[in-house]
Amino acid sequence: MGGLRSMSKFAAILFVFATLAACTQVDKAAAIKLADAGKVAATNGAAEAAAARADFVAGGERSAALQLLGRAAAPVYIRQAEFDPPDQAANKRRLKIAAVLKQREASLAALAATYGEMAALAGADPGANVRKAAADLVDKTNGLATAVNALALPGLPVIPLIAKTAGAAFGEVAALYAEERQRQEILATNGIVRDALNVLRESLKRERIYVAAIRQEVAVARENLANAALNQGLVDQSVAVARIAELAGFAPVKDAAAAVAGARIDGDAEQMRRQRLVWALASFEKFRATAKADAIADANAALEQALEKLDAGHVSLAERQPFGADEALALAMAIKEAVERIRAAEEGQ
Amino acid sequence: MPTPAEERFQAVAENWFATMNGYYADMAATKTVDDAKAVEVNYRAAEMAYLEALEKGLNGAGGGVDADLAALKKANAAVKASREKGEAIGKLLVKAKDATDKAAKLVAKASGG
Repeated sequence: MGGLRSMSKFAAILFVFATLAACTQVDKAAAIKLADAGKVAATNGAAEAAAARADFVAGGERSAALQLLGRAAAPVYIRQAEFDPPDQAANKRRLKIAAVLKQREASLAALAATYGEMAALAGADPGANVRKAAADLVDKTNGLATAVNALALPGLPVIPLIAKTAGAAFGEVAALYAEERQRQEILATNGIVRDALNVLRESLKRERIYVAAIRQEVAVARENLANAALNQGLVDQSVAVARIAELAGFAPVKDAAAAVAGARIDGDAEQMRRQRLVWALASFEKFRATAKADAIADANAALEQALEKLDAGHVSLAERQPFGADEALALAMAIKEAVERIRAAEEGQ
Repeated sequence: MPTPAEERFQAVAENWFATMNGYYADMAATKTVDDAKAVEVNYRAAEMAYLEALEKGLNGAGGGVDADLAALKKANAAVKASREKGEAIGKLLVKAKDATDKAAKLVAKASGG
């Protein structure tokens, strides 16, 4: 009788454990797919942020160079000493704005690392260290929110920081057996990643304006700088000439660069012809810069969509619903493609 | 459809890009030290207005922002027309400075700065 009673007690305990396990169950295969898609999106998003930041910061040097070349174009009787010295105010402002892009890059890199650890955890890799990666993700993402909030954009609410207690979710993981602990850690990571995605999405919305600015400013500045440098006879036009010849399927003539050398404004007919060539080459530079800026804009749009899909995927994972990991992966690949276009445009420069 | 902030930003950016586009030719066309300095001062002011707009955003709803935007658009158009007509540098500079002043005013008001 006593044996029967203790057996039914044991069965009841087993039932409670089984019920608890079912409550926290996650689809590990789905978690791996989601983490893989997230890693691709975050890695490529970080690369795109780096490219955008480099372009934006270089805008300060382009602007300064154009100013100095413009001074050289002024009549010779206006002495250089009569101009104010170049100031750094605009450059400082650019660096402040670029800090946001740097923080976004860091946050996305930490997100990629967390996704990597999440996939390893779901794959039962004993080397997985998702706690450390998630803690770093919270720090870096809070750095991004702080940088965006520091811009003090009027009319927009402050982006709330992720509470440091988010990491405490791991502290609550106290399951006795490994599989249950693994499930609880996946769910804890899922929650922290969602917090980070929300900050990233909000920050990206606010950065759209930078992307539009980079898109136009880089193109305009490159055209004008090319025009100024060509006019002053400071650059070897053979690179642009060779590219045009290559596109036409020919090799440039031996003295093609010389054909545009020495062009000056307000010259005779021959100089006017050279001037038109200078404009053509400068416009070609603008076209190439626009292609790169378009790629940056495409990458940002794709990243925004990918983060939205990923967030939906994390909700599904927590609720044990099927989610469109394939769609998230397709968006991540679109980002990768856009980043490759940026690199191709850079290589062509 | 651009948001009000984007439309304001676009007008400020248009002034900066037009200033950049004309800078080299304007410098080459100057005849006096004062004109050359004015071209450079305008260049820096246009760039700073643009960067300040980027940094702070133009979401503010200060009174008269719409009128300031309309005034800037009109001033931008006047500079464009002056360049197309090939007006003398002195006349052009007056219009360019007016557009940049209006860009700075819009930024100050719409950024809450």
